[in-house]
Amino acid sequence: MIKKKLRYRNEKGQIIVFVVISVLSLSMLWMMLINIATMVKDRIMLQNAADCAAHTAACIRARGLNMVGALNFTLGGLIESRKVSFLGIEAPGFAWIPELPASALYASVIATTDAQAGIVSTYGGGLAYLAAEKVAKAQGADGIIAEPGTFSLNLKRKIDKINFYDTIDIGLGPTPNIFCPLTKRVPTWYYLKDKKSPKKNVIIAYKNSNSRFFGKRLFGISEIPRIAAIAAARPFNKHGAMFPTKDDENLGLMVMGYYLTAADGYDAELVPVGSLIQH
Amino acid sequence: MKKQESGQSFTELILLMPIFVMFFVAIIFFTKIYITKIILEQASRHGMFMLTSHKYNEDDVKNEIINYLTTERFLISDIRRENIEIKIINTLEFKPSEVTIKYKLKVPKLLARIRGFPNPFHITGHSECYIRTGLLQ
Repeated sequence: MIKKKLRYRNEKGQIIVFVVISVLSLSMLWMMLINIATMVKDRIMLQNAADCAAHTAACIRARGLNMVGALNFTLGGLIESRKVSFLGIEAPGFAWIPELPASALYASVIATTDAQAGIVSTYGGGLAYLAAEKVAKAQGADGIIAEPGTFSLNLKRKIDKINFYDTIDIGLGPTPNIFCPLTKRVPTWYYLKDKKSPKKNVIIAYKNSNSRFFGKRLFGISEIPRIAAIAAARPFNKHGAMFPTKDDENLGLMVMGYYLTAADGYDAELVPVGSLIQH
Repeated sequence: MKKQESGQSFTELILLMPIFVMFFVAIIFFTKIYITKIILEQASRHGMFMLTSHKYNEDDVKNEIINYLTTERFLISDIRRENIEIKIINTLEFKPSEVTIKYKLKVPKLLARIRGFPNPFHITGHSECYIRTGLLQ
């Protein structure tokens, strides 16, 4: 009787062990499900974030190129930078606008080129990065990584010696005063660094999922690697480049012509990242 | 003594059953939340792609998103034009254009009885991007 009692007492509560084990395994299953689902959702959202960030950066660069192109057009109307040779002597380029003093012409060229330089450095750098980062963060990323120079507009400035002329009247209507020019070495228009420019910008959007992972200790995981997605985009103009190349003669009229043929402007498009880095 | 313990396991099973059922209903529901969220994100991205690459207007983008979501009708059954918000920035100001899809997911009755559980469950798909809308933009 005593033995029987003991046996029954020992069996008491044995189901609780199974309950605890099954609840624990269900909880682990539950945590694993949430963790995996979160990571899959994050990865898909990150790809969208990377695509939109890359497109945004390309769009900002395209806006910059359009503005620099328009100012190039203005400079083309102000300056003729083709050098003229006569008896082995090379004369510098010239700038003359009837009735406009040479100093005022020089000042307007400097103001235009300064504005261009400002656009090239902001739209082809910090502004594109900030806009891309803001867009990526709004779509779930913690930040973006971009190679240095990836947002560059790939433009180079032509620097030339220019004679700025005043206007005189010698009975033939307004004529440039060629006897006392204001000679200055000035920055003129921008040209494309190479024929394929502007290049694509590559952006990596990442997310640190470490803090949002359930049951790290339970699963024995010390650190969860960050999730990342990569995308690339570029500014493009279906009507051709808006800028001259280095090899062109770079006449002011030619610079204006380049702008007019491609005046519809640059737009942005997503492109494959490339063979070195895959999605 | 023995007679009294005979139904113990069955009683414990009955007591635990609601918890297990709740677990499984919750797993299915949360899976549905994640899948719906992913679908909405993809749909808003698709709408944004139509804005950026094909220069669709607001109405066309809404139609495109509704068409896109018809393939997921078994999960998202009642998406309407009112659920889709599109903000196209036409000026030079530095703001991105946005596509947002708001959806109310019905909560299973078992979970809806839990106090404080949101019913319906709001899920949002959002995509934003800068787009070119004018000559100098």
